[in-house]
Formats: sequence, structure tokens, C-alpha cells
Amino acid sequence: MDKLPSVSRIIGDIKILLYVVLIWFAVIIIVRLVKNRVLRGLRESHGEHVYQLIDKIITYSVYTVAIILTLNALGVNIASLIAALGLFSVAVGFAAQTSISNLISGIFLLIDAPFQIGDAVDIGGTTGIVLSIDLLSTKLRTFDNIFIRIPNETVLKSNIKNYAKFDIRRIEAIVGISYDDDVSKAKSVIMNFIKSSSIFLAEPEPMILVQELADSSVNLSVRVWVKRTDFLSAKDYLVQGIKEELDKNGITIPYPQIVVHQGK
Amino acid sequence: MEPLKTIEVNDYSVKIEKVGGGVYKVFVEKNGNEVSSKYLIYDFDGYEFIATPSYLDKPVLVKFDVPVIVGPKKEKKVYILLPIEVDIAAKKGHDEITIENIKPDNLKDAWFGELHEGAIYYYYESNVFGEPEAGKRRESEVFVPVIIKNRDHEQRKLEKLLIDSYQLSIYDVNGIWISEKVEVVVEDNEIIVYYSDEPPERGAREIKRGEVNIARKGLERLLRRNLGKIKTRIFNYG
Repeated sequence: MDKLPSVSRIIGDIKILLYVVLIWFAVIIIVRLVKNRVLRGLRESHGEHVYQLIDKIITYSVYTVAIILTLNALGVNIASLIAALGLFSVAVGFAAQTSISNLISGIFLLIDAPFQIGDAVDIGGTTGIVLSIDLLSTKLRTFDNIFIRIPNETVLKSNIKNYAKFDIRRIEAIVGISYDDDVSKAKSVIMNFIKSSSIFLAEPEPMILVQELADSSVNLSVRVWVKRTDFLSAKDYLVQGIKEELDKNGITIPYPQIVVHQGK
Repeated sequence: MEPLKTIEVNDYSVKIEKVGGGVYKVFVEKNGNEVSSKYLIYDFDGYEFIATPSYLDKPVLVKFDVPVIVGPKKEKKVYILLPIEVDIAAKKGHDEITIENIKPDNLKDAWFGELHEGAIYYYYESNVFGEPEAGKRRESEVFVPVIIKNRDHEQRKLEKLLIDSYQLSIYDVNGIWISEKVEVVVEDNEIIVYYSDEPPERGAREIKRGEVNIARKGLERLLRRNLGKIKTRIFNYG
């Protein structure tokens, strides 16, 4: 009989159990409430990456508090646990300097916001679409569909090109024409082609400049502005169109050549 | 046989002609070739043709064929053409049959604003006229009277103008479609565009009401951007 637990102890255990259930029920409610109510506005106002980061910070914080409360309810000595954790965290801190650096860099990235999820970027020579900006790393999908994880510290230290920041982009094509051809006629042929194509913006006005008197050709720099979303197709259309229009008008794009003068 | 109506569209025309008991819609090329099969649309007895203009879905940057030069402290009135869409329909009582929807051709896009901060609008090249002339306007165009007031002490040149067409009511003045006037005030390197709400002439018949003239109430009024005037700087892309 002595070994059977007393009724008061059973009631006490049930109370603890109910308390723990209540804590985790509250955690679920709080996390859902924050996600659905508080963070929804944040996603609209500050973008997906800020939403994801804040979401993770809040979720992990709430879970940490819940774990501490649960352990406390189960009779674990929190003070000694925290002290032990303190010592442990010093040891971990030495080992996890890089992670902490990445974490802090992630927060700086959040504040600086040089790009958002979905933007096409070049981070230190790696080009791709931003999939996520997490606490420790930024994830990209390259244009040939390779997943790349870049530590946030590296992102922060790198030169970042964001191709999606502005709505319009300039395309430049270098076109070499023969020294025998009329430069003004070539300019006029190319300009007419550009003006007749609706994919190129009328303003800022397209420009054609003589860029260089090169070894084998007179090089023209053709500059047009397009909507960012049209960039790739417009570049292809421009280069192909110039080639076809020059061919149609008898203007030659010369091969590299060397003129050899024979002595008497 | 004389067609009931001929509609000049951009690079073709549409001929409505009565043949036997029915009425046919015929597409005709500029050189006179009938390019498309005939479509029977209805028996037209008692119907009248009506044209309904509608605006494009965004403002239009109109580039003038010649710049308008205005002396210091002077003003000048010119007319330019603004592209619109037009629905041509045959109507008898409540019965209405759409015959053709005419859209402006060769519409390009243009950027307006600083390179990092601006918006994309339609781009249209227009001749500049001293007076509106019926023969100069295509079916998908409306004349816009533009009054340029130069309040500076230097001569000013206006080469293009961003027009928010939704502001403007359109009137029929002796068969010519003319919008309300647009007033452009040039002062201290800034251009302010004002949209009026007066008919271009007395007795003009309104055929399309501009949005600012439509009475709005409550929340709708609060949410709508007031575009009574647009103020912009003069941009140099460099």
C-alpha cells in the first residue's frame, strides 16, 4: 500500500500536466495569432524576407520561453540549468563564432534590405533568384536551377547587384560595320528598326554612338531602354534584328582581318 | 452598292454593306483588296451607328512633331492628338451590336521620371495643330486643346506632354471630337499641368465624361487620388 501514490500527489501531477498542456496550447495560439494578425501587415509593408525573419525570431523566442516554463513546471531547477547553459554557451560561443557573425549579418541585411525574395541578384559573382533570406544564410536558385546557400556574412561583405531594383534597364549592343560602309546609313537603319519595335521604350530615347575605330570594323554602341521584365527577350530581339536589318540594307559586319602590304 | 458605313481603322478599313436580306462586315486593305471573309452580323433596318470613345488604361506621353516655343511671359494655344479606343456599334432602342473596337496602332511605352523612380506610360507621336481639322483626326484619336503659359523671363520650348486622359471629358464639336482643354504652366523649371472641366466650345455635345467630373461619395472619394493637376520637374536623362 505504501508504494501506491497518494491521491493528493496524483492530483498534483494532473495539475502539472494541465499546466504544461495549457502552456503549449497558449504557444500555439500566440504563434498563430502573431502570424495571422501581426505579421500579415508586415509582409505587405516590408516584404517577404522581413516577414520570414521576424516570424522565425518570434517563433523561436516563444518556444524557448515555453520550454523553460515546462521544465520549471516539471521541477527542473532552472537557475542551475541557466548557469550550466551559460558555461555551455561560452564554449559554444567560441565554436560558433561564424554562426553568430552570420546571424548578426542577417540582421544587418534585414535593415539594409539590398534585395527581396524573388529578386534576380548577383552576390559576389553568384547570380540567381533569391529564394529566402534566413538568419544564417541567403538561399539562391541560379538560372540553371542550382541551389546555392551563401552565408550572410559573405553576402554582407560582397558586392551585390540587384537586377530587380528598378523597373527599366538599358541594353547595350556593340555592332561592328565595315570601313567601306556608310556609318550614317548604318545608324539610320538601326534606329528605324528600334523605333518600329514596341518592345523598346521610346523614352529614354535610344542612342547609337560610334564607339571605336577598331582593327577590322567601325564599332557602334547601340543603347536602348526596356522594361526589366522584357530584358532577355529584348536583348535577343535587338541583336538579331540589327543583324537582319544590316544584311537587308547591304551593310556588312566584317570578320577580323589583316591587310598585308607587299613590298616591291 | 454604297456601303452603309466605312470605318477607317489603322492599316485596314471595315465596310458595312447590305446584301440581300442581311448585312455584312467586310475587311478591306488600304489598296482596296478585301482581305477577310464576310461576316453576317444582322439585319440592320432601323439601326443607327454610334461611336463610343474610351480611354487607354494608363496616361499617355505625347511627343510633338515640332516643339512649341513660347516667349517669355506669353501664352500659346495649340491642338494635339491623344489616342483613345473607340467602340463602333449599331443601335436600335435597347438592342446594340458591336461592330468594331478600334485601338490605336503603334503604341509604344515610355518611361517618365527619374531613371530610378518613375513610371511607364504610353507614348504617342502627334502633330501640333493651330486649329482642329476634321480630316487630320483618325477614328482612334481625339483633339486636345493645350494652352501653354510661360511665366518665366526666358523663352521656353515644350516638346512633349504627359496627359492623364481620364481627367478629360470628350465633346463633339461639329463632328470633330475635342477634349476639355489642358493648361500647361511653365515656371521656374517646373511644369504644372491643369485639367479644366469646361467644354472646348459653347454648345459642344459631351460624349465621354472625364473622371474628375464624376461625383464620388464617401470612401470612394477618399481613396481616389486627386489628379486635378500634375506637377513634374523637367527630366534630363543625360
